[in-house]
Amino acid sequence: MEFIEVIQNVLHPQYILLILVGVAVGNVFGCIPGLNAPIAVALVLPITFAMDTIPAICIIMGLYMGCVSGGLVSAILLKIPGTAASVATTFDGYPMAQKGRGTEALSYGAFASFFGGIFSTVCLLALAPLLAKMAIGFGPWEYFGTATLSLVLVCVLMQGKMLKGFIAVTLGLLLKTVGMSPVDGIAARYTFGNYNLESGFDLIVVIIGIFALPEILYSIGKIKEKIKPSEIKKKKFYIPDMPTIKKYTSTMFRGSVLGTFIGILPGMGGGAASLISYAQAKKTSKHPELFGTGHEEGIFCCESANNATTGGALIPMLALGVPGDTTTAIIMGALTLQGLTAGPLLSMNQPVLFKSIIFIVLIANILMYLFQVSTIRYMSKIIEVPKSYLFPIISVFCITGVISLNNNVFDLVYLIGFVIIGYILDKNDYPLAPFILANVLGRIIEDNMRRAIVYYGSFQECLKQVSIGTVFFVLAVVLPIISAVLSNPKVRAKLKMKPLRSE
Amino acid sequence: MGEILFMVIIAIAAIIMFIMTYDFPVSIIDKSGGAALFPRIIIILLLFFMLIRLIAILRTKKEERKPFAFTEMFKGSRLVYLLLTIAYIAVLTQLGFIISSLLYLFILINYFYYLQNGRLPAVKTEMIIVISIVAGVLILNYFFGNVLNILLPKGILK
Repeated sequence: MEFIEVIQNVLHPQYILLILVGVAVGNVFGCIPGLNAPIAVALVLPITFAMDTIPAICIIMGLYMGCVSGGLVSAILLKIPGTAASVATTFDGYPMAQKGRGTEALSYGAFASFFGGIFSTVCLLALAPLLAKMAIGFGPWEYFGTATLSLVLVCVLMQGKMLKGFIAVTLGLLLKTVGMSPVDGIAARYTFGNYNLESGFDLIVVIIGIFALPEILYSIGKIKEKIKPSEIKKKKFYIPDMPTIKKYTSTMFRGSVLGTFIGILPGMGGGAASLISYAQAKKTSKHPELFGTGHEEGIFCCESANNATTGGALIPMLALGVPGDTTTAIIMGALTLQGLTAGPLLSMNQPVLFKSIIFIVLIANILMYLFQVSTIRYMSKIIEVPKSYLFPIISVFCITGVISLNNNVFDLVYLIGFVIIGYILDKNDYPLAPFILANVLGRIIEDNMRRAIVYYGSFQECLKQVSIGTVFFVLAVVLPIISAVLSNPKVRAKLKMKPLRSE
Repeated sequence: MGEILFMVIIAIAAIIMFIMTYDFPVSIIDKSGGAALFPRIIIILLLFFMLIRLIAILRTKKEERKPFAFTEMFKGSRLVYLLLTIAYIAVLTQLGFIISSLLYLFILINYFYYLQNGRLPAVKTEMIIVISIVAGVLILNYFFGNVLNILLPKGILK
């Protein structure tokens, strides 16, 4: 019965069209270097604000899936990854294109993306409700522990950038304290008497300010660079032949498992997944010497892994309310705008909607593949769109999106402030993902910490509780210390570990 | 040096914010630690991490330090883009969405075109640009106003 409701909810021509629009726009964003999924989703947020829940989710999920897979086009044809998730695709994709096999490379990449996407959606369907059920007994202390640990994990997993990650996190959390305090609701913090600041900084403005505009500001410096993609054959559909699919099914399977697992870990996006999958595939391959020379396996392994992170990242977001990557953090913000709180209660109170979201992800993956196999040759043209037209249009979209939120010019004033912060952080190797995650989780952490203190009497009493919240909090304290010790060159040398890139 | 200055500015702001927490009102029935608790914890952590970073920078040899990206934002084409965007924001409510967006797009596209090609667009290209801009802005205005029911500033066209 529930399944029929889910089908009725999603299989509506209008919604399918919205997913397709999302996939198409996402593909365009994905294949243009400099534009990525967080920017695309951030730009569309103000539009979804005025939509109903299901259509809003349709367009957002379409964008997410489209963006991640769109990156392979420029990675293969230009050797410039459209998104960070496609970095590893350049290793074998570009050499293949150079050998005149760009068409095959694109079709392999599209199929592997589809395989990874579907695999992770199945995992999402199986694991998210299970995890949500486990989390139903969560109280404020457990939520505090989970959210704190996820912020810490984001920083710890950033090899060589942990300290900068923690600075970005604390900076994000500090900016999140601006506005009325939660729980008591009596203190207007750091508002300087300005009523516009009482509700704090709007998440969409922060996201647009941190991600979209700084990237344009940076790319203006490289506007003179002209790009010429490799030629591809004109075909109606770009589908790899069966023997090739059969040959590399196990490679794609391994890549998908790795990608889904890495996607679940906070902060480890598609970029890390594809690189790890590439290294793993090279290690286990019968022909490791062919990797980097235009070997098909090099495309299958990383494209299946980076797309599998999408479903993986959605698992903790939907089940626990803890986003797995930057884009899912923004998607969580979009759900909040729709009046929904991602987490275990979503699956308990609105099971149809919960399953509808997963079903939308599945359809988005299917449409993404159909779209890619039929439009690859046009996508290669999109890469060539002059930046002189593209940047002004995106800027107008950003500013229109911000002004449309509250029709308040004040939002635009602090948008400029966040553009400058975003530029400084990003261009000086301070990771942006922890900053955004801090903005998404800041209120959850503070709110639940204070509620837990009220419930148990004091913070020390909270720590005495035998609960998963205490375990997570202790891990959040211990993990950075262990990581810091292990990143010490002398300790690494003693333990015979590879040296890290220095901070 | 740039990064040290950046951290000093943030540290000063953080310390001021810490002092400000003592002015937050406290409810006598609130047993959750008060509105000041969380910002204080965060500020202490921020200062602690920045101190470690500062030590790490000072221990790095001068020639090995990466230049701090900041001033480049206020130079050349980036400065023009920033100023144009600030000007666009400043006149958005006065001139309205349609007029200010048309002006912003026209100036910025022509400027970027000049940067990319070393010359302004030919008359035919310029005509296409103008028609596309007008059509695009009108469609966007219609889409937000009539499809999404979100009113954009009308300005002098009110």
